[in-house]
Amino acid sequence: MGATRTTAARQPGQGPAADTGFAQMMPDAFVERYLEAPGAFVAPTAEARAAAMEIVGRTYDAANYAAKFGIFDDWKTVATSGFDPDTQVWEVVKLRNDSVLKYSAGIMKELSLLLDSVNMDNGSSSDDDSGSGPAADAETMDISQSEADDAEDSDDAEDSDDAEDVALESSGEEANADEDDGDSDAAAADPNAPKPSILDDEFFSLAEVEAFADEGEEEEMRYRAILAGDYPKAPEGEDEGESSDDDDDDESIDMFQDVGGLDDDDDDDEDSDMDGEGAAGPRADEMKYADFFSPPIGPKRGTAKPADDKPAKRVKFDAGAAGESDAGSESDSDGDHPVPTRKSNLFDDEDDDSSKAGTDNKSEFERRQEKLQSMISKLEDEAVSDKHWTMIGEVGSNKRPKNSLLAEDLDFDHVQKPVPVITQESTVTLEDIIKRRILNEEWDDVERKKDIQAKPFRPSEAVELSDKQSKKSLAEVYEADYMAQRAGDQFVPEDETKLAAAHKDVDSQLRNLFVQLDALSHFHFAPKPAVADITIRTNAPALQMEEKLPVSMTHADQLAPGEIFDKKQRHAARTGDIVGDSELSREDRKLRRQRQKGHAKKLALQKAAQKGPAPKPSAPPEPAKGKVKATKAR
Amino acid sequence: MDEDAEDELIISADQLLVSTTAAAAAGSAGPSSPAAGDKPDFAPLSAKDERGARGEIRRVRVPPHRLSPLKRDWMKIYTPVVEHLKLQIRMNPKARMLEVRTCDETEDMGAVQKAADFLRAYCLGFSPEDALALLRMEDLYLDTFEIKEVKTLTGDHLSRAIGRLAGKDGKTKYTIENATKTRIVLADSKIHIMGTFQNIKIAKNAISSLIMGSPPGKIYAHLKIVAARMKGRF
Repeated sequence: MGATRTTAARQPGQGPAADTGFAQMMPDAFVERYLEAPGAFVAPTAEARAAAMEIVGRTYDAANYAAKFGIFDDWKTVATSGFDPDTQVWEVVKLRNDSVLKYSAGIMKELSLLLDSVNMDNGSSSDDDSGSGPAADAETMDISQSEADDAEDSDDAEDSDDAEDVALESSGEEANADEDDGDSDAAAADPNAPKPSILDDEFFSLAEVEAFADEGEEEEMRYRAILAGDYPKAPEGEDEGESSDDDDDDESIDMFQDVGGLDDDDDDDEDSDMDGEGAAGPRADEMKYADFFSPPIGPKRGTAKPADDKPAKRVKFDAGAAGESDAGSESDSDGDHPVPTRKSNLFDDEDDDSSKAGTDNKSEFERRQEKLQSMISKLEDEAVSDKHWTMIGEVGSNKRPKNSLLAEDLDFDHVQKPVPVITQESTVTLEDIIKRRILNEEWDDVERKKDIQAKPFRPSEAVELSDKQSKKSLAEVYEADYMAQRAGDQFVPEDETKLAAAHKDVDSQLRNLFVQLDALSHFHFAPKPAVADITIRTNAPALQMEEKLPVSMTHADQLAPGEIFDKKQRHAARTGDIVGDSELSREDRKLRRQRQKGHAKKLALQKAAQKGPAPKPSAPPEPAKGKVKATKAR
Repeated sequence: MDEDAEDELIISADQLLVSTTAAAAAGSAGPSSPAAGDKPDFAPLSAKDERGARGEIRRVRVPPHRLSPLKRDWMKIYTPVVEHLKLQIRMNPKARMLEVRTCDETEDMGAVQKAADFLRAYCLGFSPEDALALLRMEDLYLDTFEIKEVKTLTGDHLSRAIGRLAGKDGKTKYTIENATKTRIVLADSKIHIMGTFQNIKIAKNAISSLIMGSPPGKIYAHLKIVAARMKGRF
């Protein structure tokens, strides 16, 4: 498809001018059918595609014959016979299109900015001025892009073509202007028409400086207006230099542009759009003063040289109208040289209009006086008016605007020490100190302060004097002293034993009480403190039964006291004396023997009495056995 | 010559002891000059030999205000004198004299003097128990002085001084007694103090300052210090 495109639809020899109906009829129809009825592009149809391709093809052909593009390649026809349509023909076309694309991309950037303005300024004259040439410029880009897309994907290309056509349509008129701008060489910067001033000398011209400053200001204003959306009109009766300025403003400056290679073909965009300073193509190191500035006037600089026809710069807002009128009037008045109108005098602070009007008429003195007067009036106004709130003195919050303190740098005394900022370093140092202190055991424990004056040395106050009559006599007092001296701590005077006992009792009671209180109040168990105590342990059996019977019985125990001692009897046995055998007298011995005999007799009689009842022969045990047996059987 | 006579009278330690020094030996001409190198060895004398043929007798006059207390405390007086000192004592009611004399059983020659002191203390006004300390301790002394020896006071001043000395219910007097371990007897304008020498001195100072007019509180403070010092709590 792409291969046939280049040769189809048009005769190669025909230029775009031959097709007069192209600019109006075809695009309009396309617009009506496809752009204003956007639903047409929802579903791809063969009709829409064909129409789009038709337009694209035409623009591409038109672009081919632009004089500009003669520099790329002078292709009139492309021999496509024998080429493989998909790849080889495409490669050929691509060779051409690449360079075109590059250039076209730059142009598209500019156009994108001016889209809206062109819509608004439909009736502007500049639009009418546009010819087919600039249209071709934009269209060329679109065509080239569409050609690129075609080979790859037909469906996508259609959509992209449509999009580009929209852009194309809207920016068609503007592109013409741009084309015109691009075609023409930008005029060199005109040296200002000399306006004689005191400061002028060989090299310096005040008028030039002011003109330069005005230029910069106007550019700045224009740029701002464009950004704000208020696109300036094309200047009246000006050539492309003005527009080129617009281009210059709109296009961002390439900071990395190789200044030395200004004449390179690659940078044709910047080259053509610049003010013509580098249009001649001097290299950076070949640029000279004469390229930029007109030769210094010198002392003879009173007459203005005929400068190039540099149009007066006009700012495109209301003030500009006045400037324009001034410019127009001045240019009319001065036939010799077009005096460029300046909006601002660089060294004037006041309104330019008022001063400008009479600048020429006033003398040096008058001007200085005027300046002084203006300064004086300004100072007077300041003096009369209210002071700034910072100069008033004590200011409350109602005297100053809201949040105005935040903007002010206040200086006041800080009463407290500033809070130390805790940084990583400070933490690390602190931790080091802590570790060192712990290792060295340098603690900062608080030590209890002892008040030296608090406790005077008064041992006498511990002594208690008794004012009662002492119960001890003097002898006992000295006796106690003596005994205390002898025995030391072991001696406890008598009356103090009771006291000591009482003390001990109280002590034990208190100890008991405290143990109980501790048990109640402490969470942990605290056992009772051990008290040294002597306990007598008898190794007695745990079980002790009361014995009524005596364990042993002696003769002496058995005797009654009356038997031991009898007052009436005198013999040895009864008086209670313990006498041995050798001590007994004869009679006593006799008595004793009689007594013993009598005892023996008695005993014998008693025994005989016990055994007295004649012991009967015992019953034979046989019947008992039988009984026993009987019982056992049961 | 006089010097020699004086030397004879004075019995110095040199004479009693054996001394090889020529000066002492040459000068001395004492009656009991021992032979050089020999130490005399005397057996203790028995009581009989000590007192000689005649026994000693002491008489102590009993003032009228002590007569009835004497009757009341007779046994307390009689017993220690007779049983411990082994003396003989009797009261002569007509002459109002207490008489003490040695007997065969007496062992200690100084007992008579002690008994006399004991009786005298009782007659001054001390209780028999307090006076008994005189018998038991040898270091106790009796000191008597009058108020006018300290300061001349008359009439009400004197009465007030006596009142100051005694204190309310005898408080001040007892305080001094307890602090200094003495016994004090206030007999109108006479003051008797019984105790050891040092204690008597302290008590006397306290009483003198009281007579002079210092307030009892001051005396108490001073006595406190004294008592603390005596108890050993410096």
